[in-house]
Order: sequence, then C-alpha cells, then structure tokens
Amino acid sequence: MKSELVVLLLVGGFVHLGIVVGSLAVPRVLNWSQKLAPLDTFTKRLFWVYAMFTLLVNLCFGVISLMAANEMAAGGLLARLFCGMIAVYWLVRLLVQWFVFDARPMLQTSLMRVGYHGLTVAFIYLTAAYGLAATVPL
Amino acid sequence: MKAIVTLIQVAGVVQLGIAGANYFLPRLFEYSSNLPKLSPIVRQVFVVHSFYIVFVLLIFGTICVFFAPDLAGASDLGSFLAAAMFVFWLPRLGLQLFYYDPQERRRFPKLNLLFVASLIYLIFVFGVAAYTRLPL
Repeated sequence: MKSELVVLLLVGGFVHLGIVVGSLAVPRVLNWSQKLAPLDTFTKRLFWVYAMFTLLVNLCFGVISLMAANEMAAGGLLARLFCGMIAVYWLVRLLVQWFVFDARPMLQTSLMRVGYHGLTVAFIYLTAAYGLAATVPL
Repeated sequence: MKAIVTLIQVAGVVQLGIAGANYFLPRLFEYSSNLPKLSPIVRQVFVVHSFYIVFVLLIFGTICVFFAPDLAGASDLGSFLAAAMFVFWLPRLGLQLFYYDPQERRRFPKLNLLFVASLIYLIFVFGVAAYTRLPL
C-alpha cells in the first residue's frame, strides 16, 4: 500500500504545481486590475498579498509532496497530520467551488468550462489522495 | 538542538497569535465598506483567501508547537516544512516594509512594529532550522 500512496502523493505534487500554473491566469481571466479599482489602496494590496500567499502555499504543498512523498506516505504522526491538513484544505476548497463561488457568469467559453471542471476534478483528487494518506492503516 | 526546538515552539505560538489577530482585520481595515464595491466573485475570492491564510497559519502554528523536534531536523518532512515556513514568511517582511502604504502602517505604529519584529523572528528561526538540517 505504501508504494501506491507514494505514487498518489507524487501525482498530487504535480497536480498542485498544475494548479499554481493555472492560478497565474486567474487575475487576467477575472480582470482583477479593473475589478479591484474601486477599492482603497490598502485593501487592493491586501487582496494581492492574500492571492500571492495562497499561491505560495499551494506551491509549497506541491514541492514538499514531490520531495518528501516517501515520508508523507510512511504513516508517522506528523505525516498524517500534514496530509490530513492538505485534505481538509482541498475539501473546503471543493465545497467553496460547489456552494460559494458563483462562476456561471465566467463560464462563457469552452476553455473556461474545461478549466473550471478540471479544477473541480483536481480538488476531488487532492482531497481523496491526501485523505487516504492521512487515514489509511499501513 | 534543544534551543532551536524551543525557538520553533515559540514561533508556533507567534503564528497562532498572528492567526488570531486576523479576527480583528475586517473591522480595523473597514472591510464592510470596502468589499461591497467588488463584484460578487472577486469579493468571494477575497473572503476565501482570507480564511485560507488563517487556516494555514493555524496549521503551521500547531505543527510548530507539537512537532518542533521534527522541524528542527529530526525528520526530512519536518525540515521541508521548516523550509516552507521560511519561504512563506520571507517575502511577507519585504511586503510589509516596501509594498503596503506607509501611511497605513503609520496608523498603527505599535502593531506594525510588533508585526515586523514577529516576522524577523519567524524568518530567523525557520531559516536556521531549514538551513542547518535540510536533507538536500
């Protein structure tokens, strides 16, 4: 089971990196520069800082998964906690995708629809893979 | 080794403190009058990002408090996490000093000083933990 978990986590690492690359297009796709214009300078900058740090966290999850997949799959307490945290992180993101974000106005082109549903699949995969690594008995 | 473990535990408490301080940000920076100016999707992105930052800080803080020896080098995963926390906090100091409006920082000089000192502490502790133990 451990070797399968390692593969799942390595794939999870690449999925994280894919999300990071995809996220780089979000400000342009959602036209942030124009939509943030009504905000005062501080809140605008805070928005960008939050977005940058969320990207950075996703990047760290991806890099750590690729570099330390063996240890993350080994079932130690820290590994399980970390994997469980990533699973919860993506589960919440999945619920936000389904129940909070109203993306319908954005889904006008096939590319946008493919990207949006691709993200949903990625969130499901990450929730399942890291959830498994956090809970499966070895 | 023992000193760095204690320093990491303190860093955990500092991060939990920063997570807790986020509770006051919406009132401090008048989100209620600012956010309605945004379209619903951009507003939702902002709120979700805010929650995620707090969630990550809570997890980082908890890991530091309860798994400090791992972060100090007892496990490879711990060392990678220490490096990740270093990478997380390092740009935050630059942003605090050079990106945010100085006028805003002057509105809360004591808070700003405390936050900058916390950032320097976190960068130092995680930098030392990661640099001395990273299995690369």
